[in-house]
Amino acid sequence: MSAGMGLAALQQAYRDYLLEGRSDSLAEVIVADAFDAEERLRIYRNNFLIGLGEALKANFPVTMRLLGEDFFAQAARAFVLQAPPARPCLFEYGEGFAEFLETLSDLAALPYVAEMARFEFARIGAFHAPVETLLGEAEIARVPPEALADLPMRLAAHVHLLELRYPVEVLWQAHQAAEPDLAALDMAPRPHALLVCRPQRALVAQEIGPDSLAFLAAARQPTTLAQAAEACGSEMDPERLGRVIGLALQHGLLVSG
Amino acid sequence: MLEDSRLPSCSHLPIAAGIGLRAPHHAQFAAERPHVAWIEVHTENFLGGGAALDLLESLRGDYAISLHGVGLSLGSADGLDSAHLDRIAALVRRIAPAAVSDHVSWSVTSGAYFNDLLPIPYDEEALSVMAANVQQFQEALGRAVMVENPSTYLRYRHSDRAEPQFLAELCARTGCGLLLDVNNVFVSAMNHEFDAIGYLEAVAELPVGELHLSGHHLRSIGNRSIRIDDHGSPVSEDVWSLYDRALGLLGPLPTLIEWDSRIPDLDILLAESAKAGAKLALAPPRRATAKAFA
Repeated sequence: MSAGMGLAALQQAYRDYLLEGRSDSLAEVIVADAFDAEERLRIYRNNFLIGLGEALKANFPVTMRLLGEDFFAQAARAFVLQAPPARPCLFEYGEGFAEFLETLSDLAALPYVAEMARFEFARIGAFHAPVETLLGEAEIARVPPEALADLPMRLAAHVHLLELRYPVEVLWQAHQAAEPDLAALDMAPRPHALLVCRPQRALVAQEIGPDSLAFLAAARQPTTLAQAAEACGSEMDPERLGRVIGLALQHGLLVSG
Repeated sequence: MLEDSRLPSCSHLPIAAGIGLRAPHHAQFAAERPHVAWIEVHTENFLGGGAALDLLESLRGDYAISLHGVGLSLGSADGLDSAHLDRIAALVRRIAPAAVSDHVSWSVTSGAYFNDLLPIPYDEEALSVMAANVQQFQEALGRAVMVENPSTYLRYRHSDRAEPQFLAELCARTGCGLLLDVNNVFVSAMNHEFDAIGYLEAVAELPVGELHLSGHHLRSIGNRSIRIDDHGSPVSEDVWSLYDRALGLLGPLPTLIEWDSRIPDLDILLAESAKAGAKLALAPPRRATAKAFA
């Protein structure tokens, strides 16, 4: 009978094995009988890699279709080993996957695939964001006009702002069909900003202009209406600012505080 | 449906058959409210604020709900992730479920989550770690929880007691209950050549508040085979037989049909739960010799 291994050391040895394939110290404490320790451990490593690969597939379904199942599975496996989830909620898993895809050299033919992953991750982020009390027109109407400029506010958790080069949202929509008709799509670069949010029950993905992007991006940190308006530039006229604030109130993009 | 006064305090589930509710059936539950006594969901899938949580809240009025965790990692030497525990506690306050459970296993170390129910050694150190973590879990929720026996594919040389003894000590130290997965008992018994019925006899006096049933498959490695718990097929005949024995020893208990991979049409899950329900209805009452639970 072996003297064993303390629990913390055992769990660290699993980490070495699952992420790096080093099984020497772990194998020593495992009973070998009909199967040796390596064979038994491999069952757990397969579960780990396949399970998290499936989680990425669920979170990035169109990215998966663009890459093809086999390539996606290989990329997912490499990503899982490099960046396993930090938290047990798998609907949150995939931060950094888009950036990881950008590092893959054989994706030159699909220059927009990393942006698709960013878009899909923003979608699930919006979808699962915590519920907050959003600023709407009724709330704003209650604020005395002289206090409006200094109203403390920030972007709501369901709001994601993406600066994109390619029209990936159009491509994503096309892929919702059982047999996507992709021939008519123009995937030439077209820089734009996309707002992804879920103010009520339904997800919204909408292109926004530079004024709105500047205003909303300023509200990623706690700010005031006046400060966020300043971020839009000094020549911002009241009419344009009104449109930006109208968009924010319509989709519940802001919370107070 | 039997009244539940004979269940331990960790379980307020109806003594009837339920099913695990998974994403492919969410829309059907939202629209049709299928007839089933209770449902169990994986806690971690409802810790965001999205449509899944809206659905779960809307189902509260129509079904008893069990929150079954797969990610708290009660066997972690690092201790529990307090942010994760806070999120679970907030969900429990919101849903007020009939039961809360997680596993006798670990899945987190040094900030990495491995998404699998990794086995712990059955020794004094792991027992102390599990007991402290279960106690912290119960204190955070202000209620007793259940822990589930795992399917295992390996054993440790330094384990110095059998799984039922480890479970008994854990229940005694923490006041937690046992979620007895009959399929896991069968899978582990076959993989490690122990007597499944002896296992059931050894846990019969523990505060069991729920049973699980699910499918597994046989995987060949070379010329040998090992049973893998994948929740991806109907409950096997062997496991139904073991369930009969469990009901004979333990009396009728809330029973869940779990299906997590290759998830079939809801009708198939409901038919499996009806089969369990029929067995439950015929099960003899809990033996008079069994310990009465508070």
